Amino acid sequence: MGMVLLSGLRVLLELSLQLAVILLLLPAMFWLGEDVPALLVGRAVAPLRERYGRMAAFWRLTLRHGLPLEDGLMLALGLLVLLCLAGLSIVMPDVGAVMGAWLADPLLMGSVLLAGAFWAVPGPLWWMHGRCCLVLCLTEAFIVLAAPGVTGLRGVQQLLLAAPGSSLAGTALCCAVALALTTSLPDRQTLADDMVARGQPVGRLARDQRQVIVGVYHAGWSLLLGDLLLPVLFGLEGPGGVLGLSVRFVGGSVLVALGQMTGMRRHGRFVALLLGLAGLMALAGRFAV
Amino acid sequence: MSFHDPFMVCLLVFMAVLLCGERHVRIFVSGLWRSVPLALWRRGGCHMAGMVVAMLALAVSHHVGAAACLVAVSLTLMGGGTVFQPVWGIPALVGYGLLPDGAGGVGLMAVCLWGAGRAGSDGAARLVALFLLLGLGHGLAALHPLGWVLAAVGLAGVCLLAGAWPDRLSLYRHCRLVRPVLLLGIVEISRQQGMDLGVEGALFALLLDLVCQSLAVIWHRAALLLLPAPPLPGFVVGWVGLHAALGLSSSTEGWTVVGCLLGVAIMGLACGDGMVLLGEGAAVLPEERRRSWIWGLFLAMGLPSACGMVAGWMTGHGAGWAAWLYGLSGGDGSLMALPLFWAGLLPLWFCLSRGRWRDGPDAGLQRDGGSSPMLGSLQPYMQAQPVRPRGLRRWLMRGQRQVRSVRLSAREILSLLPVQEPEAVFWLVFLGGVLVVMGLAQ
Repeated sequence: MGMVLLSGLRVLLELSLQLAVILLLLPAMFWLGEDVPALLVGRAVAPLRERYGRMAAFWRLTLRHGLPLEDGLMLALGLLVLLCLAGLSIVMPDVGAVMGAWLADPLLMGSVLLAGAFWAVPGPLWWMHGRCCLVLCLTEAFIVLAAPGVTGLRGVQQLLLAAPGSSLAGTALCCAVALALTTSLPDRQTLADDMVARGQPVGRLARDQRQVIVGVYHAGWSLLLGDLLLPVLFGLEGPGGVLGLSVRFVGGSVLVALGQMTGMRRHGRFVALLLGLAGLMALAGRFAV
Repeated sequence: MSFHDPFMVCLLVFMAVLLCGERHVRIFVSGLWRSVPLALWRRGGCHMAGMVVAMLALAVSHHVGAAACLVAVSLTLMGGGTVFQPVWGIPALVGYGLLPDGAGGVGLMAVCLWGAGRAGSDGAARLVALFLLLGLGHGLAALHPLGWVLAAVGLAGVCLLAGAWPDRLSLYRHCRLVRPVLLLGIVEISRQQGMDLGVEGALFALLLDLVCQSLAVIWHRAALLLLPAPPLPGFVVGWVGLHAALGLSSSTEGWTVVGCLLGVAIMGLACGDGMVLLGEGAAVLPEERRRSWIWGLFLAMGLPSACGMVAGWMTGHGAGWAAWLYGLSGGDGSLMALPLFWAGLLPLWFCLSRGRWRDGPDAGLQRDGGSSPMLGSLQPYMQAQPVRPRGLRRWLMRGQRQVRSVRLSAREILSLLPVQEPEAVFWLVFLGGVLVVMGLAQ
């Protein structure tokens, strides 16, 4: 009985530590995802500590007054996705392994993000969501083809450590680029337009909360792309995990920013080309073994 | 035959549940002692008789001729006379009576798919036709699984082309018909290849799909359970079906391409199904009450695990039922810990929207219209000084100038080549670099 209680406490400690690390990194993620591209274009942006102040105000208000039910569910989904995709394991490696192997599935996590984004901004983007969903399905299919019997990103990482340079890395990379080109999450402008168009009598606070939630989804998407781009860095133990998380996130946001800046999203042919390449690599790896 | 009888029993149980809960049947029964409109009462009677006849047809499926007769009677009753119009239905059913496991099964499939397509928005009729198809056609599926899958896809296409469908929604409704048929095909293919995991996974997806469709007929709000959004059972159906098909393609010879296609088709059908549900559910959703939300949450949490236990019992792995309490196994050895996901989601949700549970789900947005104390706390960061890093700006400007000059010279060079789009060149070079890195790594 005591052992069960102790292990339960350790699991709770592990989860809260992971959540704390992610909440600490979240404003930096927002800054990297929204402000740094604006800075590179040449606009003046708020410094990083303002991001921290804003996020602290958001959490203070949220914990004091509570979010509305829908927004609370959306934010809980986004935080869980971040928690699963981060692949951290700080105190207990087992918990991180369970979440990394059984929950960090690209299709599952990507669909959570897409469904949450569709719920936040219903309407104009649905066929883009459909295209993105198709690309996610193909990603999952190719990863399973390249690595049969592997569960989640943790399994991908372990397979890559066991057999470096296999076709699995190339498949995951091509799928990550294809996903970056078909990103269909709504940006801030779309969200604002949608909230005006629906004519809800929303206050400034509700709008800010909704924007933070959509920002969490964007961070989760970048992290998913980073996980697919560099699966080797997934699920490192201890403080190295935080470093790997940062590196993966930076990689994913660079990919998203490249996809937006080069304007490749209009060209469906490149997505088809990348997916075909990923399928070829997966099949080649499968038949080579 | 150790397997098919439990499957038939399951179908009979679903049919009995449908008979007990369907709306028209309830109207018919209450019309025995109350006054209801005559047209509604007659329709309810037709539905009840049709379902009873369909159950009889499933029960006597060993005697093929009687089953074919009962199928015809049942489809006629369910559709109120409009379903069984095509003349070719009679020779098709006669062919089924003569050759139940061969080409006659295709005739039965054509009749059932046509009847289900004609049923339109009447969910009960469509579901009864689907049950008849699955229950009576599994002989063909067990003997020629690939033929079963190909015939289903081809006949659904022919039905779509032949009928003059009034709206686009009926096109998407075929998604819900074809998906269980494909899942049954995957079950039989996995059984032929001797993959126990694949049989269990695909059977689990099939049962979950049928349960959700039956619930959607009985209780209209439960239709939202079939949305392909992740924590809901509709996504579980798509995910497990995809993984069962992929397990087929990755561990057997000769099924690689077909398995991949089947998996993507099942997930795509789930997405197409979501279109219908969003179209229909948009009218239902605003009038949700709190009790419906709670029931829906319980169903969404409990149904996958319960169906998994039943599937495990049917395939003979009944001892491992406890594993379904924390994870749902796909067909290829992968595991999705969706119950653990729910266990993390609910406390987090409860903690985030604390204090809002007493007002209804819609009360949140209206309440914080004018919140001046909150605005006061927002003020310090609204008046923040923006950063203007001069040195960084200078570097960036210089870099931009360099990039511009490089791009100009690159465009001059590229104009000599037979290339129209410079972005295409960039991505091709990028892909080439990827291939080089891959080659170096190996």
